[in-house]
Amino acid sequence: MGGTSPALVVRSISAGYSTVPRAIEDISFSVNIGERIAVLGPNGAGKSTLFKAIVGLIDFNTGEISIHERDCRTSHALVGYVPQQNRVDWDFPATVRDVVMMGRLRKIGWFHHPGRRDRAAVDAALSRVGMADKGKRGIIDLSGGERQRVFIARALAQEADVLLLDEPFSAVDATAEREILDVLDRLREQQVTTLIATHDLNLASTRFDRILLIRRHLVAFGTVREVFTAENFARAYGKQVGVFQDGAFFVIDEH
Amino acid sequence: MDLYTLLIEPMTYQFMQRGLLAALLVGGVSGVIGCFVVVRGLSFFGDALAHSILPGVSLAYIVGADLFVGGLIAGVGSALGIGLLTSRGRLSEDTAIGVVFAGMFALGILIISTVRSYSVDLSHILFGHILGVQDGDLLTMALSGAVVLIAVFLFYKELVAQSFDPGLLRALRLPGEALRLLLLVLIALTIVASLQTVGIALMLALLVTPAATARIFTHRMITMILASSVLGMVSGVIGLYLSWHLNVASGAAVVLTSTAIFILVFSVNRLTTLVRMR
Repeated sequence: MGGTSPALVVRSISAGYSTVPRAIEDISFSVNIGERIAVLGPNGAGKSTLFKAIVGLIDFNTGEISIHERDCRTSHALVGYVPQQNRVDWDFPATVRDVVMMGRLRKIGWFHHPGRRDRAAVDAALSRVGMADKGKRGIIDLSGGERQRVFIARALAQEADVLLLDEPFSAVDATAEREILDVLDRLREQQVTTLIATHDLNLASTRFDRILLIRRHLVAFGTVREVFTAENFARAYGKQVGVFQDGAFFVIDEH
Repeated sequence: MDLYTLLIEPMTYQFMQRGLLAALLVGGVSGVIGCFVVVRGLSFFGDALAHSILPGVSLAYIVGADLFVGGLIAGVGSALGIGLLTSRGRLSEDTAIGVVFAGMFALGILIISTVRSYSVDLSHILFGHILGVQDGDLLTMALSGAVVLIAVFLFYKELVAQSFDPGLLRALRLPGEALRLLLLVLIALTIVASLQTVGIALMLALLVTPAATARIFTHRMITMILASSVLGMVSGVIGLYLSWHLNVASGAAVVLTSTAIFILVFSVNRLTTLVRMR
């Protein structure tokens, strides 16, 4: 794991919205190819803002982001954004294949219909998330874990090899969580780089290569041992947190 | 009543032939665009848009201009107005729709109130008059319908993806906002072209009911669109015949036919689900 060149480099980025112009400020870090990073921080810390800046959903005022050493504004197709499940209506009349094919939208191009290459890309993406046999299913019939895998497949069909997952473990049961983790393990073997926003500190401390802890600014970035200190957590979570019990942190009053 | 009096005889009249063509055109096109209305939850928008056409139509009537052109200007203007008010979450969609809809409809009533004589033509705008369709109207319906269908065909995959997940289009750097406005304009065009068959008050049913019926038994957008379009045409034709034989208002007959089909399909679907579960 870990190629010679980084997959993603973020240099002193600041970004925000018209109401909160600086939701994140001066954040820098670099992620190696195939790494799995947990992005932690309290609500409103700017996890989603960071993701949106990397994907290009919002403009950033200062700093630069490069993916495989290319500016993120020109190499957008290489980053796949896996939104929170509740962002879409799962009653929508579409099959699993239809949704994954949407990842090819830009590759297919205006006024064209999906061709053989697009269908092959969709097949490949579905088998990478273990849903090869479920392509014809309506999305209305999917379980929570399957929905998340369909979204991951959509990002893979886009030919992205850096994936940003926004809280994939919230609102899913233990089975779904295991399914998603299995897919993530498989993707790591295929050198896919993943950044995952999560609230689950125990998961973050066991299943990830490195931890990115933010609260508007970068609080800490490194291995579990380096990041999971009482001092870092006090800086990130303030009074919300800080109970240290059997070697685990617990966030009090989250949400 | 034999088959001749039931089906053939009404069609010996030219106004019935025109009515039939109008029902097929309007039912088919509204059925297609209505699917986008239903999956995106734009029912309120559709209803509001139909009402906001009133000032354009009534003004055109007073100055003796083409009613279609007047309606189109008011409709597309309102659609874009609502679209721009809601873009980037400036205003919530239902609030923007409520403000524009009420304002435009009031303006329409104000304009009508300046006309002293009771006007039959304006009541046709409100409740439709499928049997009064002229050749020129048919041409307008056919052309607008063609524009809508061609646009949906050309931008199909983008429109569907934008309806399902607008965030994806932004992430892929595709102009999702322009596509959203395009859809609103297409809905406006469909409404203006269809107005003569069922009128402002019942327009919503043409957009929503066939699509809602199709959604019950389809699970892909493409099949839903085809089914909805056929249901729209079938409702239009059956409604037209009912209106002839029972001597009732044609717009209401068309809408109630599609409502009846919806209830039928909904009930059959519920029953089969119940049977399968046992």
